[in-house]
Amino acid sequence: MIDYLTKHYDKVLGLLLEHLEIVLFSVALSFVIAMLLVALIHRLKFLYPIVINFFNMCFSIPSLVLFTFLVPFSGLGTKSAIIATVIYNLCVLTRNILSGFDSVDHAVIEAAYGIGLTRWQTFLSVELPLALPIIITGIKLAFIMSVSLVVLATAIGAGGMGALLFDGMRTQNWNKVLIGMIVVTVMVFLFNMIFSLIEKWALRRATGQC
Amino acid sequence: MPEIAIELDHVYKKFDGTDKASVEDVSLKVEQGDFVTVLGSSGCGKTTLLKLINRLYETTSGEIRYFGEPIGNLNPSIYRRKIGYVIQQVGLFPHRTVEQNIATVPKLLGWDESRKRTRVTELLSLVGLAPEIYRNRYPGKLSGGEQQRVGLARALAVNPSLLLMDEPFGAIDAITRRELQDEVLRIQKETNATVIFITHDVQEAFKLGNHVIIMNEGRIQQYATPYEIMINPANAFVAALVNAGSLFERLKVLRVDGILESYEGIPDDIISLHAGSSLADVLQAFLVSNVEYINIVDKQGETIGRVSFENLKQMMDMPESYDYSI
Ligand SMILES: Nc1ncnc2c1ncn2[C@@H]1O[C@H](COP(=O)(O)OP(=O)(O)OP(=O)(O)O)[C@@H](O)[C@H]1O
Ligand SMILES: [Mg+2]
Repeated sequence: MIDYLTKHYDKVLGLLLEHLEIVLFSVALSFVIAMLLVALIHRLKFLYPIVINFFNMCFSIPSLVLFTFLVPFSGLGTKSAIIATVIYNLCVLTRNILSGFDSVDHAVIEAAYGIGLTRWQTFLSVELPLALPIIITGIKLAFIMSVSLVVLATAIGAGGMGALLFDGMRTQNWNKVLIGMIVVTVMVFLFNMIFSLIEKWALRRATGQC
Repeated sequence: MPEIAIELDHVYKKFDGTDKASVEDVSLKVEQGDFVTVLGSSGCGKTTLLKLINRLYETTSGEIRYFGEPIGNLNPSIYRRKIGYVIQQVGLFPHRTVEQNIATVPKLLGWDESRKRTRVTELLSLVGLAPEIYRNRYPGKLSGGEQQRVGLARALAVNPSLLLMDEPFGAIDAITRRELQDEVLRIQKETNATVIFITHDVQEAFKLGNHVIIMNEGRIQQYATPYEIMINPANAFVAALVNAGSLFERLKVLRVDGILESYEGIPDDIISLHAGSSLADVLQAFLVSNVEYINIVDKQGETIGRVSFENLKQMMDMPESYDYSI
């Protein structure tokens, strides 16, 4: 295994970077879309249940089914992988961002307006910091979920660590499988750790403990 | 003539999707420096009235003027910064220290650090909290009463000419509540701010207000001094709400400074009561001692007048035909 790694070091690293790139890109894209959606729902309240129900439905579709469903539209490859990942991320992110803002005590917002903060000032200095812990939880889940989704996306020809894993399985090259497994696990572990720390920090900040 | 701080001119507020106006044809004037309490049962439109004044709600029709200026012409945020606003649930920012909470508006106005610090120290002392102990605490670590005090300090930060308070002491125990009431009275005297104070506690309304507004179903029922309301309730609703017919209620809610006989010279009676005392206190003093007059003093202990038992009886103004039978 070590032999394989020293020999194909650049190949593994390339796949890892590709994997990270897809994950980062889809989480970033879904975060932006989710924020826009939440802003829209804030204006048009009737959209709230519609959006939530739609995403709950999407979320219950098995990932492989969604991947294959997308192929006729966006073809084989990274594009379909990103679209599917974004759809799953949107479920988690929209829900968490919404419940993050819902969790902010209405009296606090009212007091903010009442003493003369503008809409933006209230949003940036009151609502956002107080909603942040739950939003960060959403981002953490989105990252963890995306890492595994992108592994599966190899099935429709997307790049990343999945290529190494599935290739190893097909050719019964256990070195590849093992390296793939370890790298993916470490990736998930690191994302979880980093965001748990940020989450803790945000929570302490929101509740006035630091 | 004092200026008119706030004037409402045939103000209506009807919320979308409701079939009855929450505030209906309200016209009133509040003089600069006056302390007005608003009394009424739950849902009668007190909060709505206050939020209309603060422009958190816009009127459906009618006009509100702040020192003569229609508030519709003013920028809402800038206008609100001139007005102190204390809500029932306090609404302190949990992620900000006491100091940052109080300095919110000064910060918006771009005050420098040292000015903000000095002001926070001043305000914490004013509301009876030791500045060095409390300034760096977070709201989560304060008792309900302490939070109310910080909320009050935050509202007073830039010396507002108008202070709006919406049932600020609703959820506070009786002792702390009395303490805070005295605090608010003192602060109002010191700053000469105009105060509009909502409560549904008759005793609180009468203790604090120079004038009391009684509301029911979105309309003003009576706007008068506590004495006037007790002695001449405008209608059956007012009479029932303040229990105007009851001797005990009158004794409890009417203040002695309303019946002072002016008195110059050295008082010869040893019993002194504070000007804010209720008539019940006066009656009690007469009952336990054998004096002809009771001396009334102000905060500094200076004599400002005296009352006799006759004064007390007149003040109570009980009808001749009062039915004493059980
Ligand atoms: N934002 C709103 N939308 C619709 N109706 C409202 C709104 N705010 C208040 N109301 C209605 O207006 C009426 C008056 O409400 P308001 O909150 O002013 O009462 P209140 O006198 O402050 O009562 P309380 O003593 O319980 O605080 C109520 O019938 C209430 O249901
Ligand atoms: Mg209310």
